Amino acid sequence: MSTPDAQGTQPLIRARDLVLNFGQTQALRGISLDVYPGEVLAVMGPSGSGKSTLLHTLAGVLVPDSGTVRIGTRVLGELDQATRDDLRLRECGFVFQSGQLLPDLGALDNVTIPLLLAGVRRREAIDRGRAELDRLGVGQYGARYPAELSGGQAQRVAIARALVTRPRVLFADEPTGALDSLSAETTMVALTDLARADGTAVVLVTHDARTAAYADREIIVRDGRISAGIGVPLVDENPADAGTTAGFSAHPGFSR
Amino acid sequence: MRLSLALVLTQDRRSRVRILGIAAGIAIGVMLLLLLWGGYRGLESRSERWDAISRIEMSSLTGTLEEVEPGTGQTLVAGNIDRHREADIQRIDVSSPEGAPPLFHVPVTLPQPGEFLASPALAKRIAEYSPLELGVRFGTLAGTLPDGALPTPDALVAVVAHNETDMLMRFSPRVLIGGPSGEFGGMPVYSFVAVLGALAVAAPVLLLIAIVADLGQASRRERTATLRLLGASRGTVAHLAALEMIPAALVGVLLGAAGAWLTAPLFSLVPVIDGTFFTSDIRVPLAQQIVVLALVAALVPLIAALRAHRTDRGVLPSGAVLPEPVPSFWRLVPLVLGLLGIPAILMMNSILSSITYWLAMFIVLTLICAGLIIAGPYLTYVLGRVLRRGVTSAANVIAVGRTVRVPRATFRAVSGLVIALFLVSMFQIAMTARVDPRAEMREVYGADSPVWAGVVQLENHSGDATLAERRREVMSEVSGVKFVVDVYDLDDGFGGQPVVSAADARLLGLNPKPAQEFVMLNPTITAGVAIHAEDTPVDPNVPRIPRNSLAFTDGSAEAIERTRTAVWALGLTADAVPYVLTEREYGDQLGYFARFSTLASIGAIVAGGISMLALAVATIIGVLDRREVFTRLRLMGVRAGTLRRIILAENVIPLIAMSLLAALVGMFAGWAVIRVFSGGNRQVGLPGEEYAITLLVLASFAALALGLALFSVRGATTNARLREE
Repeated sequence: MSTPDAQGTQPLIRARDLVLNFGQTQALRGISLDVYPGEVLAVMGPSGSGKSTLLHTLAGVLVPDSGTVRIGTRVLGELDQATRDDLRLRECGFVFQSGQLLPDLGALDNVTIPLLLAGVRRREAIDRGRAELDRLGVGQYGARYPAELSGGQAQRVAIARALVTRPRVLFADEPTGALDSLSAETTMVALTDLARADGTAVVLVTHDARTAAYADREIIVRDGRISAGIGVPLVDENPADAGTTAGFSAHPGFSR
Repeated sequence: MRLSLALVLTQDRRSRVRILGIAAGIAIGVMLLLLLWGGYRGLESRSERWDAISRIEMSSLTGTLEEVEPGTGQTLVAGNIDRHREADIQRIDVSSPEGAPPLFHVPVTLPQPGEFLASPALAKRIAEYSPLELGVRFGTLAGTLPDGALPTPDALVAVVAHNETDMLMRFSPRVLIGGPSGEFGGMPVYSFVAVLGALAVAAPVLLLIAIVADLGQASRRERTATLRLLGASRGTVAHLAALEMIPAALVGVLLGAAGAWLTAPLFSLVPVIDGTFFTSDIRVPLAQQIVVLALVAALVPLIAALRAHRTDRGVLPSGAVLPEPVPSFWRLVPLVLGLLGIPAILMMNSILSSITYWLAMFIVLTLICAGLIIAGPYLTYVLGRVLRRGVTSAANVIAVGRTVRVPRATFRAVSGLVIALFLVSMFQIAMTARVDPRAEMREVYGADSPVWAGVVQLENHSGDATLAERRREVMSEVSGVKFVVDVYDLDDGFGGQPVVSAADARLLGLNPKPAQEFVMLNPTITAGVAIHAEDTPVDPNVPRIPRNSLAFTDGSAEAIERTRTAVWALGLTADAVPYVLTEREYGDQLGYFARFSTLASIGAIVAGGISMLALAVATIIGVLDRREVFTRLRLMGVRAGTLRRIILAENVIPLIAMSLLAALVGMFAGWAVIRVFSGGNRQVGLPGEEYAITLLVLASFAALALGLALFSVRGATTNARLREE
């Protein structure tokens, strides 16, 4: 059982005691955390600390050696590969640093792909894709190929693609890593605003403090453990669920 | 140079495995190339040896009967095509005081008169049948002919020795003038078919080598980007690509040469046109092999360097895909020119000389073949544009998107199969021009009596009455012969109307009046069907010239062959060869149309097989190129099955569209070839079930290639791969 936050909301993602080894390398060493609907959680840490591995584990791409990940009511470890794929397709969105758009498709076609994969008719997918591009301010670039877009435009198209299915969780891995500071700012504003508007939980992996500043709270991963947390509790205080925890304090940039 | 060498020498295990894979691909290509060239050489050698045999029948290479001067030591020859159970036997009767006439390209010592030399295939055949049916036809077997004297291992050839008197008495010999010329004098159809067949297979082979060489380029793109970032020039990168390919090329050509040498005995068993090959014929001589191997070994690194230079993306990361330039409409020009060339050639039939005609046809077909390859990317692009509006599934949207963006790469993957399909369609349509002799007979004469199929005829050009009498006597004694009829021409100044005795007329089932000594028949007696007596009375005082002896057998092959053997063995053939009606009328007339059949099958299997490899390799390259894209899709939750459907759709869309075009163009070309072959006299029909089977085989090849590719690229779509990315 999970514990509601201060507003009485149940956590959307609930990870407990995640341990994952790649051969001799211990990538995750007992991480526990909760992510709430509409919340933006920044995962920070140096290169090789395990933050991308944590994101992949939370998304069900990787299966931990021990520990559990629960998205909503479903425990990922109990699902087979196909069901996990389906869950990601229908309930998760992804934004990456670069190369995330299909190079052979125009911006609009790129955005419609998740809808088509989910079984939406093409006509409807095009309408919804166009509306999503408009929402992100790049509606005029629908016919352009990724190579014809600037980095910031391409990233907003990628966000449109991630949000077009109205996912419950958005996983963003270094979404501003390849952008200049202005593009990074507009991208993060768009991403966080729309996610909050949709009630989508965001797990944001970054090593950039300015990007992390858009999050409601931050955790810092070192050597596969959470070494610090800023914002709200990582897990509820129920001793039975206790994993790696860290102290918290209100982040100066945000109030929830 | 030192940098390139260092980078080549310090490659990791994975790179070395990749180079071994490239070497294996080159080896297969080189092996097939050598076998193909060997096959072409084999056909040429075969044609030369056929010439050596057929020249014995040709007046330009032998003297006339009038030039024979008995007792002067001339070599006398008589060449005939004998038959045994629907197989041709090249029979050479010869007398030579020297004992070693220059009959063939290789020395052959004649046996004693009354003995004969047989090709191994004929010797085997003789052993399989009763001596009365075949063996005694030639005399006593004294040995076998060497391979160098035979066109193919399956050829049935007999060299029968006689003394001069016997030769003059039993045959109408000519004087042999000189030895074989050694010049290539085969029929145009022979070289045409050989060259076209070679082209059919060479195109996919070269494509395979080019694609395999490209495999290295796709895999080392990341390193290239890094080197360019470090300041390496495009030249350095191209140089590195070439250098890296040298070991693969060297290993590949050596393995290919060894493979060709080892598999030559196996491939020599494949029948092409009119027989199998001698292994020695399809093994390319060492000096020529060295030239081929050196060319391929040089070509592969050159292709790699050119590709590296052309596709250089500078410092762009490996995942970045640069769009291809949109293919131009002008790409259709060679194909259109080729297609327009066909009616042009047909219209110029009366103006062009035979050789020019063939040459023009060959150029036009080559133009169409090349035109398909050149037009392929443009047509793929147009098709992609058309389909883009209609597709609904994510897999098809992605596949069509790629088809539009990179039409060259998309088409290249299927181009081998497209060419194979074009050539197969052409040959299969041409095959439909074949006509069943019996069906033709029914059409011409309105009947097909099984009795007449068992009638052995022996013409009597000299009109020698004694010979006719002896023939009748001998043939009547043969077991299985029911009766013999002599057919005469009336020497009344008009000629042409056949006459038989009243007794013979009764044997034929006619009812002559008692007073009639002779009965005039309608002319179809020598055509074999629907005879009847004419009302015109025959004056018994008008001289009659014996023209035909007809032995009516029980229709069994044994009886027919025994009859033939009897007249040959007893020296009654003189100036004529015994034949069965259908053999004479329709035997050789359509021979070369049938030769398309074998070549079409061989071409389809070899070209389809190679194209399968090319398609698999090209698909793997395409997936490796987009590994990052596929990984992202998997991360988004796209199932591996959907990714496989994307890869399938990318190949299937251009394959189906281009195949349809290639098949239609191939059929058109096949029709045109038959018009050329037959001088406009023969028509083609709809392809039969053999074509359907060939299409099925090609479709299976395509499915196998895609299956192979999907199996080998599964690593690019697994979760482990996601983690790596």
